[in-house]
Order: sequence, then C-alpha cells, then structure tokens
Amino acid sequence: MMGHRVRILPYNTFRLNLSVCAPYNADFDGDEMNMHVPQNYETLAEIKHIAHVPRQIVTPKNNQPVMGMVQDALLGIFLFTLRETFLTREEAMNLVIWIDSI
Amino acid sequence: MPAIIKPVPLWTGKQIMSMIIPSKISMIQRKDKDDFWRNVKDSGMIIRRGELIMGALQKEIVGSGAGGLIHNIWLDIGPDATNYFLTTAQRIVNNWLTMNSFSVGAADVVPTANCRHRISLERDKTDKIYW
Repeated sequence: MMGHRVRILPYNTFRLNLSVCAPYNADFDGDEMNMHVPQNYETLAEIKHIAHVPRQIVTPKNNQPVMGMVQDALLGIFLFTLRETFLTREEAMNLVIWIDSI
Repeated sequence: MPAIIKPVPLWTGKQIMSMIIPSKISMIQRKDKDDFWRNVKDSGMIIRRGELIMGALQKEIVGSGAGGLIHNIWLDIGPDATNYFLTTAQRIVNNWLTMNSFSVGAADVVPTANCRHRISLERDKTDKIYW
C-alpha cells in the first residue's frame, strides 16, 4: 500500500506515474487496484508522512531504491544527455519552462 | 550560458539536466580505466556539485538500484528532493521527446562492418582451437 495525492479526472480508470509500477508490481494486462480514503486525521497524517510515495522510494527490504526512471523517460534522458544533443535557444527555453522552482 | 556561442547559440541536454540535479550531489562512475580523464567516448559519468560534466545518464545511474543518482539524492538530501528530481526530469524529457523523434527499429541493431569483422576474427580463433 502507498499513499497518493488524488486528482479527480474523467472516467473510472486509475492513472499513475510509470515509475510507481515497480513497487506495486503493476502492469497493464488487466490489473485492478483498490483505493482507500483516510477517514480521520491520524490516518491522514500516517499516510502523508509514512506511506506517501516519495517516502517509499528506498525499500527497507534491500535498502535500495525501488523507483527510478523507466521506459520512455529512461531512453529519453539517455538520448537527451548525449554529447551530440544540442538545443536552440527556443527549444532550451521551452524545456526550462517545465522546471519548478524549489 | 550556451555551450556553443557561434554561429548560433546552442545548449546541450547535459546543461538542462544539470539544472535539476541538486547542487550537493557529486558522483563519479568509471567505465574505461585507461582514458577516463581524456574521454573521447563520453563513457562513464561525472557529476560535480550538481553539474553533469561528462557522460550520459543511463540505467545504472538514473534507474532504481543501489549507488545510483536516485539513491544518492535520497541519502544526502531526502524524499522530497528525490521526488522533485524524478518528477521534473520526467517532465522535461517527455516534453523534449515531443519535439525530437526517437523511434528504434531493426536498422539500429544491424552489426557494423567493424563488428562483423571482429566476430569473424573470434570465429577463426575458435575454429583453430576446435577443428
């Protein structure tokens, strides 16, 4: 079980980041999942501070990360950081837009 | 500051990724022991104070696994910084992929002439031993 922040979207399908599929052992061959919604503040606090996805990146089982970049993002970041990848001013600025200020 | 100034200012992907690697992080991964400091192949990887200096970010570094970048960010800074790195990196890369094609096909795995030559050399060697 892990805690997620919920965003309500049209249709009845769960959508989740692909990086989180590894700890759930989830794939897209017909998997089903259940969602529980915390009913009091104590539960809410536990989920927010213990079960929340970023808290579970390193598993206590092997003491190593279980989430990382996968699939398109993994291939993309490799190609993106090759030495011969160049960006024009416009392209660079359009990508920098996506960086949140910390 | 662009990596190339003239004739047209150009930035590299490494520079963009350096913007989201926390400045506390420094790590080195060596692949070729011989020419690490005069590396023409861009193999291995150096991150110095959050700046990706050499090498491409690949599976051993940015994937899940002990001793990688994700692990180091987690240990040195914390869950929220790791979350930020993964989220932002994915968002940048996926937006970059929408402006650059990246299809992979059988043509990308055809052995080069050099590869085929080396295979034949190895085969000659084993043939000599066994026949």
